[in-house]
Amino acid sequence: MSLSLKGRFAPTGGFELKVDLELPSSGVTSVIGVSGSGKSTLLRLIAGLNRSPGFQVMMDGRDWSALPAHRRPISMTLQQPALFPHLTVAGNLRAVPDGSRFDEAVSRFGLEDLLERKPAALSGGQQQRAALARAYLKPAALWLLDEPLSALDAMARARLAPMLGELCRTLGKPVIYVTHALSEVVQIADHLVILEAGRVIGAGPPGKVAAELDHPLSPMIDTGAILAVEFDAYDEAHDLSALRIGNQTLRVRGNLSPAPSPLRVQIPARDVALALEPPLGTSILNCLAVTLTSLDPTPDGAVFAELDCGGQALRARITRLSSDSLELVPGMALHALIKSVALDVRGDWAQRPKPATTNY
Amino acid sequence: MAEDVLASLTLTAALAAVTTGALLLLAPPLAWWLARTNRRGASLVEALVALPLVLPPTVLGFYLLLAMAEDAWLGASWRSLTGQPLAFSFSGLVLASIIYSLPFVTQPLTAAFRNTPAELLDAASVMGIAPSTRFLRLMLPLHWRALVAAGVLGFAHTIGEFGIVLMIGGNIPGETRVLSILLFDQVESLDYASAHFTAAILLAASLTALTLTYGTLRRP
Repeated sequence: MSLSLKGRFAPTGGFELKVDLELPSSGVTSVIGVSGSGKSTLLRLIAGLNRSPGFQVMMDGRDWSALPAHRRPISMTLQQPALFPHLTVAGNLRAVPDGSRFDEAVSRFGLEDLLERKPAALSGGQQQRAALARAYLKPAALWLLDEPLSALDAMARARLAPMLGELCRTLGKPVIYVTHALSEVVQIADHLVILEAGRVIGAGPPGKVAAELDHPLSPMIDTGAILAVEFDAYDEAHDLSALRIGNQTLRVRGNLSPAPSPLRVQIPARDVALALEPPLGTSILNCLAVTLTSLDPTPDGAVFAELDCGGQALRARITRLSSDSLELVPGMALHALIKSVALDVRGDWAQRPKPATTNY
Repeated sequence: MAEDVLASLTLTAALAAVTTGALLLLAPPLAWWLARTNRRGASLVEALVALPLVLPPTVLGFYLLLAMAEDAWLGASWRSLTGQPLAFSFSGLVLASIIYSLPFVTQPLTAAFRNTPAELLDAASVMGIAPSTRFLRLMLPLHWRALVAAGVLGFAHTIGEFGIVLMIGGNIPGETRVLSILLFDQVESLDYASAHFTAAILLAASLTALTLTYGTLRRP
């Protein structure tokens, strides 16, 4: 049971997408890449909006390649809400041929008061909600979301993100979520696919992908490390939450007690510094005992240090001078000083407009 | 004289209405095809549709007259279908008007259809809507303004026909004598008072139609 994508798609203009992917047919698969990496093209190929004899789409053993887009059992939102401007919200929803769950879709996306409005009278977030409801109405075997948050401002994004997270968790259908921002999906993705220049450079469970990614080749995406942590305690006096990682502790700003556990945190490699001894007299709160596993020089003169933190991979990007003066060799016990911990707050428990980044 | 004008006015209005009705059935699918196709033959089709814009109406009228003759293919098949001759008949005028006014209805529609945002077409596809339904149920209502404008232009242009009517319609009162022909007759017989009246009707009708068209297109 899976979605298999195989082949080459080369529209005019020199761009070529070439993949051979097997995606799980459950959970949330996030396709991540910078603009021009081919992630939207990949989604359009799955949807049938682009078709090519050289590109095969197989869903659970059925070949979709010959099906035109309107015959594929998919629900999709495009980068733009793409509501029909001459129809009201209700008219847009009623245009779905087999849309039987009208009331459910309306209440799920909070459209009760907007039904009689034309799209031009809606905010960006409201339009996107209507577009999601329209997609929800169609009975589908697979969901495709193309950058559902990217056209929105920070406030609208903070409102819609929990709704999307909830949708992905409760649909019971596989979701392919395309985005350029890893932080958007770090809490909800079960599977990551990283695209660069039309090629897959990493695919698998989030922690594994971040650990395996060949960073020197993909300087555009500093996925750093994605670590699984457990909520431990909230220190109200300092507004800090303690998160457990193995037998060590990470502290981040804000009260994360209502967050689903385990949580994922993303730590960019450039925000990790290394020390031989636990430092004294520093404002940096987060210091983890780690073991150096390898050192990889990057083309631009820096060094990627691969670290093992209680079985999870962490990464530091340091200068070659630092590497030399600390006389780093694999196997050494080190202390990783973490300048910031990026937490995705876009779960359904988050009310804040921006991802909480804690700087110390 | 006033009866002449009334008969011609009724005839002209009927001709314009029937022609516009037929064009509004024929032109939208043609315009949609022209707007969306990448086929090599499309340019030729587009040129054929546009031909009446540049050709003297008498040229078109001449060829239609030949085709509508009793022994020509069009006239003969019409005769075997209806038992009526096509040349110098109302039906012949309608057919000629459809061809003559086709570009005036098709071109604004093609232009409007070409401007359809691509994401709306994609949205319809992923909603599970088949292309024919998408056209009839979503694209035509979406482009209603262009349809109104194209219809009014076609109507007004049919009212303004002269050369082609002269060639294939002749001057049969109540059958083919439209207002523009009547005006010609009145001027020929030096009846300037009646000519003023007829000309004023044509002028007012055309100005009203064009004002309506541009007004419809102007609104956001």
